[in-house]
Amino acid sequence: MTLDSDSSKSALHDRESKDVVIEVKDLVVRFGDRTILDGINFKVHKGDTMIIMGGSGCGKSTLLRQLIGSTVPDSGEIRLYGFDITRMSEKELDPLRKRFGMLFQSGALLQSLTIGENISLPLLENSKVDPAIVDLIVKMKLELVGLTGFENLKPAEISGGMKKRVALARALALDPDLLFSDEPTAGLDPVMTAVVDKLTCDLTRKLGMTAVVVTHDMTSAFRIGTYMIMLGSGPHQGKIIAEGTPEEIKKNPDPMLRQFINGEADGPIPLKLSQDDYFKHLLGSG
Amino acid sequence: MKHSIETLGGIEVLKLHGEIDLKVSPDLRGLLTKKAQTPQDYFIFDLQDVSYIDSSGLATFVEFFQLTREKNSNILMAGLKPRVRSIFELVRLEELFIFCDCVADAIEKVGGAAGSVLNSMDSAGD
Amino acid sequence: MNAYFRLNVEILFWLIIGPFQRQGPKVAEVFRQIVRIGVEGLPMSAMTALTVGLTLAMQASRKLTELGAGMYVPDMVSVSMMRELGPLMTSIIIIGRSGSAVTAELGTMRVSEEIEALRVMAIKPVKFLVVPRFIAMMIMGPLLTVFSNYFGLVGGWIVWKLIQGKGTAIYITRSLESATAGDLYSGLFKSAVFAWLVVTISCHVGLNVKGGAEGVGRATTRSVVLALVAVFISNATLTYLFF
Ligand SMILES: Nc1ncnc2c1ncn2[C@@H]1O[C@H](COP(=O)(O)OP(=O)(O)O)[C@@H](O)[C@H]1O
Ligand SMILES: [Mg+2]
Repeated sequence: MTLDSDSSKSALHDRESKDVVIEVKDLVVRFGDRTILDGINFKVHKGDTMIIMGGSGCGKSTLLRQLIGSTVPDSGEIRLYGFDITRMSEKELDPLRKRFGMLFQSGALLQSLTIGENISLPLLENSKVDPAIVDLIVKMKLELVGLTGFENLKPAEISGGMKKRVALARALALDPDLLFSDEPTAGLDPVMTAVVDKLTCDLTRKLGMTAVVVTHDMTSAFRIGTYMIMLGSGPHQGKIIAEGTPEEIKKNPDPMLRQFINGEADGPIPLKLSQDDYFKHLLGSG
Repeated sequence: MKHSIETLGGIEVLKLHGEIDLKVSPDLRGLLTKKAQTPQDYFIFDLQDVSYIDSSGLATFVEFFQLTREKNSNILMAGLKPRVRSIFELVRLEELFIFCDCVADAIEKVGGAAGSVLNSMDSAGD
Repeated sequence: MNAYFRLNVEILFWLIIGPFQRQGPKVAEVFRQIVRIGVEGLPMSAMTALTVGLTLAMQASRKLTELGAGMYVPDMVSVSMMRELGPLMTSIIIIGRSGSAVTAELGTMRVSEEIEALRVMAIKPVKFLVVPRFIAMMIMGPLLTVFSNYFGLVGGWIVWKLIQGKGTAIYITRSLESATAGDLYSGLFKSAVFAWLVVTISCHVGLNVKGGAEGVGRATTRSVVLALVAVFISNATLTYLFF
């Protein structure tokens, strides 16, 4: 435990001097005439755990999709390990992709394969490791996420929270040095949330992995985060409305941020703000 | 896979170097399977020059443990860097292998005469 | 259309170049698809071919007997099964049974982010999902057609022997003599072309599904319609070329 807090402190201390793993510049993403991300800028340093917060539908998953090179932005630049992935072809992206893992919000497990096969898939497809070794790796990865013994079930036979954890195990199959997680603890009980959080901390603090985590869970965010950004919604859609280390975020007086962190229904975010629009909409403008 | 076999006081120590990852773990596997064929009470691995080990490396050692389990062999890992040790501990492998701070400790643990000699040499050097 | 051609090129790439880069298709997966597409489809196509053979023989024997050519029923059945009805009927069954299933399956994978997850794991969906289905279809399309030809002939024989009470030996000799190897091969060539069209169309439509469960439903219908149209047009074209 002492090792833990020591290294996290030093992670904060020299964050400016460390290698930049991800650099996002003026990122803009539109769907039709809706601008979902509007000029996003940030950097993620090696060993950091970057937390992305924001209301539902504000574009967090969309942002992650951009970072993994899954879709091309309307404008802007995304550098992973220094490579601008927005200008790279699928073929050029593959070597980079083997270096990072991605946990999708839905888990995105292959339904036709068992849990064990899902986890072994990246290993069998991307390396020449012997199947006997792959088998042992699968068992170790399942142990990491607290699912030892589940390898022969199909994704349809397990709960949502378990799927999330299997997806995390799969994302970690190739021992990535960069992990993207989209709401890794959604649907998990508090104990499992703590297990997954501890795993993320161990991987980043002790092994030096870099993580980008989308989460709504504020306890979890403050437990694992070394840097946080909050995306706005409504009139602030697509902008970063607050950012900083967990300490800075805790002290930040921004009312929207406070409302989000404290989980209050009433405040500057949505609902009240759009009440006029609501009546206009409800009663018809004519 | 870079490795060397040293014999200290009649006890064989396998020293590994560099990063044990997907590229080299098949070689390590070949080496270990061969070793497992000649039963020994203990196997000592010197990992002080290993800077990183990935899951395939861990799995290779776990397989080695399986292969030598019948003979009740002890597997000692000596001189792990903190990061490498964390990797072992993350999947609770400290319960399978005996970790030692340095090779001398490991040799002493298995009761080799050389262990104490080396240790006293160490302290003399200090 | 452009994307469809790219899919074809990519399939050929993995099929031809893949094995040299030690990225050949997984044999187990190909077998699984062969069972799903072919073996499980056998009863359905056998039954279809049998009834087609029966009706063909009944229709033919009435007209041919009127013309005093009742002896030519076996010739008629075997040539039309091999050249035309075997390949066509089989591919229609395959479209309905397997093509739709392939589209629905890939489409569901697409909307549940599975395809995207594969790409992010540096696994090519075409290599991993499409190529095994392609190989299975290219093997099983012609093979099912051969079985269909056989069951069509059995259907014709049932009418010949059981209804008209004529000899089995003569049915066999006549049907084998009249149909040349060329008839069989042209039919098999057709069935290979159909198999190609069906599997590429159903994969293409499946991989490009948009918009949830409803999108999968619409795509499945679309894939069946497109595949049928493609098969009918190419059938007419190929028939024109072969005669
Ligand atoms: N493929 C798409 N086509 C059109 N709109 C989309 C698409 N994907 C997401 N959106 C829209 O983008 C916004 C952000 O979505 P998302 O990133 O999933 O939000 P969240 O922050 O909850 O993860 C939502 O309003 C959603 O409607
Ligand atoms: Mg989301």
